[in-house]
Amino acid sequence: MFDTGFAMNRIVPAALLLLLAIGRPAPADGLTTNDAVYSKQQAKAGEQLYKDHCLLCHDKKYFRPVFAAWEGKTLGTMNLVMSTSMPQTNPGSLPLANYVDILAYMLSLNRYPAGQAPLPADNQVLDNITITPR
Amino acid sequence: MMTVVVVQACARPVFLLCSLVLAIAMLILLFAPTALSADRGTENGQWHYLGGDAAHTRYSPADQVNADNFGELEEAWVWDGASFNAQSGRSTPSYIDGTLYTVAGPRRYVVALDPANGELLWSYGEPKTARYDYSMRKDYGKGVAFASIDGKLVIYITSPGFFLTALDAATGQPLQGFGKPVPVAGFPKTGVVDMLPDLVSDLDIESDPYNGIPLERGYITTSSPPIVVNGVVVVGNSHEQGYYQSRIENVPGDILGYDARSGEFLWKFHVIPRPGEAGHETWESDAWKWSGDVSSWAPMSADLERGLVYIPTNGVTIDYYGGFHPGNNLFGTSLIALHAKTGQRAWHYQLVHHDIWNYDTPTAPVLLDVNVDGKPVPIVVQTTKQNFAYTFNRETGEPVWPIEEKAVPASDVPGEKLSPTQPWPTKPAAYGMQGLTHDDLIDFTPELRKAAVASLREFKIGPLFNPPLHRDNDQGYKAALWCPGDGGGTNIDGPSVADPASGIIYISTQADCSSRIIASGEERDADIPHPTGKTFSRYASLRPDGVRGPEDLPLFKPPYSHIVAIDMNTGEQLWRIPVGDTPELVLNHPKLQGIDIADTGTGANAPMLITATLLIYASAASDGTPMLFAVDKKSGERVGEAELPESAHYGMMTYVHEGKQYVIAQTGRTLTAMALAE
Repeated sequence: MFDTGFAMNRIVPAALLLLLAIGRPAPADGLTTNDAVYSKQQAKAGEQLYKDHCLLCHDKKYFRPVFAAWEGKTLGTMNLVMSTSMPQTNPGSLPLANYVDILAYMLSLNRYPAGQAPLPADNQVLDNITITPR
Repeated sequence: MMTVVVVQACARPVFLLCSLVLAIAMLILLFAPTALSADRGTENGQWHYLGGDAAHTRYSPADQVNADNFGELEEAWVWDGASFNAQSGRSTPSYIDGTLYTVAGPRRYVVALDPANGELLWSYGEPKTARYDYSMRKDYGKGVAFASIDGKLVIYITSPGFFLTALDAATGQPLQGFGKPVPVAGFPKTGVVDMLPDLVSDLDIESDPYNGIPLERGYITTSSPPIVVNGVVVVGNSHEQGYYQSRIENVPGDILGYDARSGEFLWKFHVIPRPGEAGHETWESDAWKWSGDVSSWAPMSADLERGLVYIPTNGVTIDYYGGFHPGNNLFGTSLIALHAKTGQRAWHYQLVHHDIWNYDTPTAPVLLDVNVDGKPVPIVVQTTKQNFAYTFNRETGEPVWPIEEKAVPASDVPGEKLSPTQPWPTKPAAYGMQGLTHDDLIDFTPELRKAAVASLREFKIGPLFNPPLHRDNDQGYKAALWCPGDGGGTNIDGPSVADPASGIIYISTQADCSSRIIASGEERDADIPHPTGKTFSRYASLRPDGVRGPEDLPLFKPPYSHIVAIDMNTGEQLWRIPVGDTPELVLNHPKLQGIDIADTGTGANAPMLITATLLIYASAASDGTPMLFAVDKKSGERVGEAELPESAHYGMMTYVHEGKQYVIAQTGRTLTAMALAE
């Protein structure tokens, strides 16, 4: 039994992967955080990274108002801020892929829908995913 | 000394009268509220203050754990603060007469723990208030203060809601006869002082016990414990972080003094001088009227014999732009010495004039007694984000070695008028990164250097005190990059430690730069849920916008973080070592195969302490395993290591309980006690 949401969960990340494969950026009028842009498995990996590197300053409750405040901005900008200024005790010290996994966990905490494919560590893709209310 | 003088006086003919005076004096001394003793705070296995002693050396003479047995350290117990919603692990426990005391979680519960097993003995929680809810530094309590009142041990804390509470250390009950009833449901009838009315009494602001003060006038909270100096509870404070502010008004973070026995308000020191007060002239265009902050959010230290308390301060409201408060802005980003009894200023030194770099003074000053050029000198050393160890005679405030005013860049941001010079210690030499040139960038291969240079293209780099640059500048830059950045250098996550016997200070420092998008205050304001003040600043910081190194590698040459030992008798560096082990990310990086990489350090600062023979610090092995490392404090050679169950941050302490030495690591929401295997 496949409903539309499930189908979209599969199609959108697949399109993302295709775009990555051919080396082109996502379309400028692209996606929002409601478009199942990360996978549950990635969020799981992000949860451990969050515990290791973020929890010291940011509990889970921290991220909901953060996403509300970032409404209209892109995941690319959020990732830029995170990956250059966090964790506060050692800014920029994680591989870019780790920050994107943490971003996936933050999306899951905010109950944005998960899909099949992970959020890619590619700023051009992230720059085309707009943060919108769930 | 005092007793000897009195006895000699009593050898004269008026013996009876004199004896009576002597007896009264003895009684006064017996019942005077004092520190537990005149010792440094860590003798006999004790750890009285969050910094160990009142001098904040974090030194303990305990020697059970040494180089030979360090590897046998294992987890003795773990205290989990989950039920107190503990999270940050910023609090360092005190061990006083057989009990551990600390604070936990955003409610800043005071907890007493059994030092042998971590079992909870009692806890005290302040009732909730709206002014607590607003606090942005709830979980940053850092520790407790204490005093002996009439022979009874008393624990003091200041809370996120800006209340001062005194508790009977034996029971956790609020101290009888202390403070005044707070007219809010749930508050005890005794033991609490509402400090807000005292803070705003000369500011024409109404304070409500539940709601606090109107946010348009400002907000104040606390993020460190007070310190008790000879019967006076000296209270600092903190504000919202300057990078979360967009409006120009706030309340000043004046320092308050209270009687340790009664809670009576004794004095207030204006950190933003009023008309007629020293330093008022450093506020141009009447900016003192609306400016606030200059808080003292880092812990204070004290010279109990001299009755002096040493207070490090923050800058003025709003980081990165100060066009609305022209002038040098005393006592912002300064070190202030106050007479604890009166609150009178003994001396001060401003470390950064008109600070817009977020170079707030982040750690407690460290007090030592050293010999400089053959003469004994009582000193205070303030280590900083900007990697200077500013050193003063702590009695007079005179720099031990000359501090010169050196020309620094001007700002291009409209309306901003920076000081043309900044204080520049001639000794000790800067102990870490200052400013940035291409020569400081990663150079494992020419390609990596080239990529690092390219990544800086959109940023204006420069020397120490490189000023922030607004977004719509006509130079084509996205922003300025200043180094060290917000995180230091030295910061709260690696307080400096020192050996009182040798006069050597050990400083942790990291390589880090910051960049912020500087835009209109109004634009920034839209992102802030509960802004303080009412008038938008012309500029404020929108968000960080930094630079990553190429290929997931650090932007800089190693070491990424290191510990420096400086002999404060001479001001000379003795040795420096990387913090922890080279991260696997660097060690096994595919672009670095075949390249011999010396130990780089992890990039993070290290919590440390000093014992009879060791420098002990917490960091990580190459694979990220949390570790305790032992270093020979004389040579800097690593002599031991032990695995920790969790990463440790912010601070650590050691104590000896029932003949057994424990090392406490602050492991996030838990405290981990390490001890030698049985």
